Amino acid sequence: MPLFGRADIHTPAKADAKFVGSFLETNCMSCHSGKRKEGDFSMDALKFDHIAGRVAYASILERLRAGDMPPSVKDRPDPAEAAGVVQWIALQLDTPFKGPALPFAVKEKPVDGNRLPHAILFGGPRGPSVPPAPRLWRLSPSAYKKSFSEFKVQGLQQPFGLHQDAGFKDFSSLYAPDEGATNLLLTNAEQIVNALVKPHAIVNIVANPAGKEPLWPSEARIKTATPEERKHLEKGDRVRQGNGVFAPLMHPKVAANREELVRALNKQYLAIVSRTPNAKELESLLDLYKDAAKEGDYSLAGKAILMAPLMTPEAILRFEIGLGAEVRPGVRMLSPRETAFAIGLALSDHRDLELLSVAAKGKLTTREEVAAAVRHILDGNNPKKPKQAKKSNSRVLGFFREYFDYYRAPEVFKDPLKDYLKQLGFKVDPKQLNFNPRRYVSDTDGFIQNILSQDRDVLKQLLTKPALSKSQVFPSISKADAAKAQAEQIGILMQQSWLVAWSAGTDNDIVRRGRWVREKLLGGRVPDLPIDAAAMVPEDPHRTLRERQMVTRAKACWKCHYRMDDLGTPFEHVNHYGFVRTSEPVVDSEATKSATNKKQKIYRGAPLDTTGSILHSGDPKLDGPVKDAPEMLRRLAESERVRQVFIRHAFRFFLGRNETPGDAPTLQEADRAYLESGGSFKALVVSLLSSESFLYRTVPSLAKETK
Amino acid sequence: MNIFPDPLNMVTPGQLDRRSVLKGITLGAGAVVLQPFLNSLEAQAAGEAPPKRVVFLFESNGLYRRHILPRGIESNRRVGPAQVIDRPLADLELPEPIAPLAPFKNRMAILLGMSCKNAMPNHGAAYGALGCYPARDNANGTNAFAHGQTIDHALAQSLTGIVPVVGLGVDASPNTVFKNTVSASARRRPLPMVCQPDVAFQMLFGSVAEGNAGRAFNVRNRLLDWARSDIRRVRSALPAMDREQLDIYLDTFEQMRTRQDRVDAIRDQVRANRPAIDRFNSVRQTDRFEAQCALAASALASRLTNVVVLDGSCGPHAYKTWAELGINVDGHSIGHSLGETQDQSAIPIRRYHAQRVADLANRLAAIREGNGTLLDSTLIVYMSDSAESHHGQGTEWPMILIGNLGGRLRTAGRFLEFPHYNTNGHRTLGQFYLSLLHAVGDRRERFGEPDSGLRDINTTGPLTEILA
Repeated sequence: MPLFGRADIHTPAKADAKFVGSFLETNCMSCHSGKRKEGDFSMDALKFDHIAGRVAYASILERLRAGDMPPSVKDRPDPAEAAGVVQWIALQLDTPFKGPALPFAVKEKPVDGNRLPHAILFGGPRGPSVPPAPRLWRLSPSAYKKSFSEFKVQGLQQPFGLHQDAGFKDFSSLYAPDEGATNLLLTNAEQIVNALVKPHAIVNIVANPAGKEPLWPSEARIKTATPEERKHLEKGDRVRQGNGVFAPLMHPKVAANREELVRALNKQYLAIVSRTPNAKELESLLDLYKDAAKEGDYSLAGKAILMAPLMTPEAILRFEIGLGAEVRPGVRMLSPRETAFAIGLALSDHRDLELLSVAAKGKLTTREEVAAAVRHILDGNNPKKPKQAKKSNSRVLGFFREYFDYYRAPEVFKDPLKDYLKQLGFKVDPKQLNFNPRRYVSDTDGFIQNILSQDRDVLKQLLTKPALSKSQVFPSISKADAAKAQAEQIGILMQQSWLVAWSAGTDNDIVRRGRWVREKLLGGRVPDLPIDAAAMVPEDPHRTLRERQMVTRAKACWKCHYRMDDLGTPFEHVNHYGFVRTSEPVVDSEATKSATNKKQKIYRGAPLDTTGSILHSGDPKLDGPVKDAPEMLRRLAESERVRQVFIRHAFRFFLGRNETPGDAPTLQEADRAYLESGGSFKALVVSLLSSESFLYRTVPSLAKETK
Repeated sequence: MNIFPDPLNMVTPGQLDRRSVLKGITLGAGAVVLQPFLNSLEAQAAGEAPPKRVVFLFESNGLYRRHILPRGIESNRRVGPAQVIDRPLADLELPEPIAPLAPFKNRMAILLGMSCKNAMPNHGAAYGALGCYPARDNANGTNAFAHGQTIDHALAQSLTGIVPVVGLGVDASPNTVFKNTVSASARRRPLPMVCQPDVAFQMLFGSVAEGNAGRAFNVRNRLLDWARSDIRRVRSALPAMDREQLDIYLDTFEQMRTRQDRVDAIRDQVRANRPAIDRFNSVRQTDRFEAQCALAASALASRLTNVVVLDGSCGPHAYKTWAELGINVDGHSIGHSLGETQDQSAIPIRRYHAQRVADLANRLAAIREGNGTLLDSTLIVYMSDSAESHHGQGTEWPMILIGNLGGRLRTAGRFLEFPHYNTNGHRTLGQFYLSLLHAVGDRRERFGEPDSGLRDINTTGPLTEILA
């Protein structure tokens, strides 16, 4: 591959506004202005120094630095001129922004996160900080499951789903409760309440004279019953008191009084939304009780009001409105209670009751207090409950699972290993060699936890730390080769879990592996597959996958595939079961022809080629050929850009949204915190969760969005 | 079951803005589901043909070929026929285990030889039985994963009812209320089987019920009204901001109400077909099974649904002991015994299931509709979730069909056996399901995951042998 047009390695030509103007006119305008918006990009915004204009400039800078525009190689500008323009734009972006701090709308799906050019977030002073608008966020399926598992009811149904694409799942803007969900919420509420009131069965003291068991209503309580109720009570029906406050709600013919109802509702609201009902809620529920009782059965009415809090919006939505103090004109902080919920659910799948009690004491009102609280949770500074501390960080591992997507390995359909090996002419004892994607996933979980326990240079370690457990090898490999290959195995991208998760049913998946590197490490983008493209690697058992993959070199394909394929080929050192190999089996036509068994295909080992290249990365120091995966990974691990792209992804996961230009100060702070702590992931999370982007809200009436 | 299951996947459509995305997966769905139903009401009023219906009934622990092979058929599973065996059942005698089906001999088909090995039916294939994909980690695991839509839901897309699929289960434990077992509307969206008949009754017929069930239904409606006012209250307390999540949540309650109005519109029909049986509260396994069959027939007759899954297996490893039938050996132990010892226990259980199938068919045949009966427009598929044996390998998946789906299938009075696994002329379960899809007008090209073990033979297209 020729290395063309990389701007930064050339001495920049002198550039001023006029020069840049004519440069852009010559090289960009014909496709990106007026009605033509190739690649969804228009330069019209450049005319103004508002945030949209800066975003457009940052996009141009990114492309010039990557050196892949215009699409046709022969049309590309003189590298020295391009370098001059890059320098000029960078200077402009570093100039303090004088306009109003307005929100800038970005696309909301996780896959669109990288649309925002890196240069609008990093590279020099950026800002101003523009906290997001107030939001509601539907509970994730796991948070729903966790919060309602406290009731210990078997058979509750999951009402919520998540999108099935790779990458981050739980973004606040993607979900709302749908009709099916509401039905299941109702059904679950019914089951939970049935379980809660189960101890309060009806017993008849006439048929079975009571022992010492406390029953409701007591003799004293009967005195306050109405004459009609007393008439029913004479028949002997009583409710088992148990140790709960729900008993008075369970008698079909005797109404609970206000005090009893309030006590029951307080308990239920506390259990579900961690607060007692407010006056309006209380009155509406008492009305519901009265109304439902008209059906002639107080116990049905009692169950209904106990079900009610399970349906209330707060039980299924996270409220992040910004009900705290105003920190500057038009910007409010989350209230302590909102903050406690937000942090609890950012780090785990449940409400953090300890944090809620801290909030109730009036803490969590400044960013410093929040930072301390987050650090406390992450450090597990609770000698009495070390286990709880570990559990409370469950979403930290969740971030790595969704970032690398290795946990999806078991979902890739493959032929049984023995069938595959038999086809190649191997007979292997399944006890000696088996395919166990679940184990690969747990190996990688362990690998990550090991790195997190050291908490130094976390990203670099994730990419280059030697494997803790040896990966499996293909049966034909010699012991010496196997040992050598295993010694070279570094980082998550060379682990079986990741390699299997990013493989196809019958082959490696060069394209999607490369795409992962492009998007998750280099912060690049790959456009959606054109609808008229039949993306198929031809099946031909006589040729290696790499040879067959050459189909994407066709001009129409390569205009996108140049961003992926060369980043995926270094992982050809394994087969699609993730077993290390030294050659790739292809059908040997000659041997097959002369074989006695006409049905049997004979395979030979084609030499392996694990070379690839990093091109148009946006960081000229990264670009260049690589001989294999370890070389590529080591180079990526040293890159500032890769580190910042990683920070951007952590932001998206923990804040449940894509970053905007107004989040640049938060991202730069997080990057600094990570660097200054020697690459501590903990420091990074503390920084993100105590940032303005996480804790502050821009009051919407005061801000108009620019698009 | 869920009366109003999530009809669509949660996959977020590609190029939509947020509002459309949120709305597309929520509001649109209700409208889409309701419209065909309204159309069908009009059609009914205009005297048009009744809807087609499909029922899947599952038995646990395998449907052994020796229990359903008619007397006089020479057949050996290990060898298999070279050509399709196609014989009229009229000339043949049903074996004792399925003798209760004899009255339906001229309306039924026995199918042998279709495979679905990749569903790993050993101990129960879970979603794989209706989805034709491997739903389990391994053939011994209890975990099952809904990788994709199952055939019942695929059919329901063409046979639209108010409730797309009614799922009723019979679990070993009478305390199980819901269980996710064989049916999924989409990937990761299992349809919970309702395992308690009284809960299913409440969900399906609560609106026309009397007594406690009726009262409970009315109280539930009041609770829904409260929820709406509660959401409005929360909404009005918010500062000026994007309240879409709340709006959509509120809309879901409106939709439930609308749907309930649709049920009310056919109230008389629902009421007329409300099952009258006194076993809804029973903890006895047999009573629960019979009650679920009655509910299934009623749900079809009242036109609440056109697709029912009656899951008598209730999941891999969910073995039952049929003490009420005098069998005190559990299903797993029966599966691990052999020959006569096995049959001493297995045959009475098989007969009991065959009786349930016959009972269901009888119930449907007793309901007049147009010029015929409900059974005329129905297909009952009786099979096992673990295929041909307790340790089913899926190289064949025996089944019995009753009814011909309103003449769309040639399944009246036939015995069909297809060539053995991986020989020319062999057929798959996926092809059978594809035939059902074609029979209801969904002409897709394949259903389920292909079996890599069959890559050398042609297993594409529907079964021309049974399509009318």
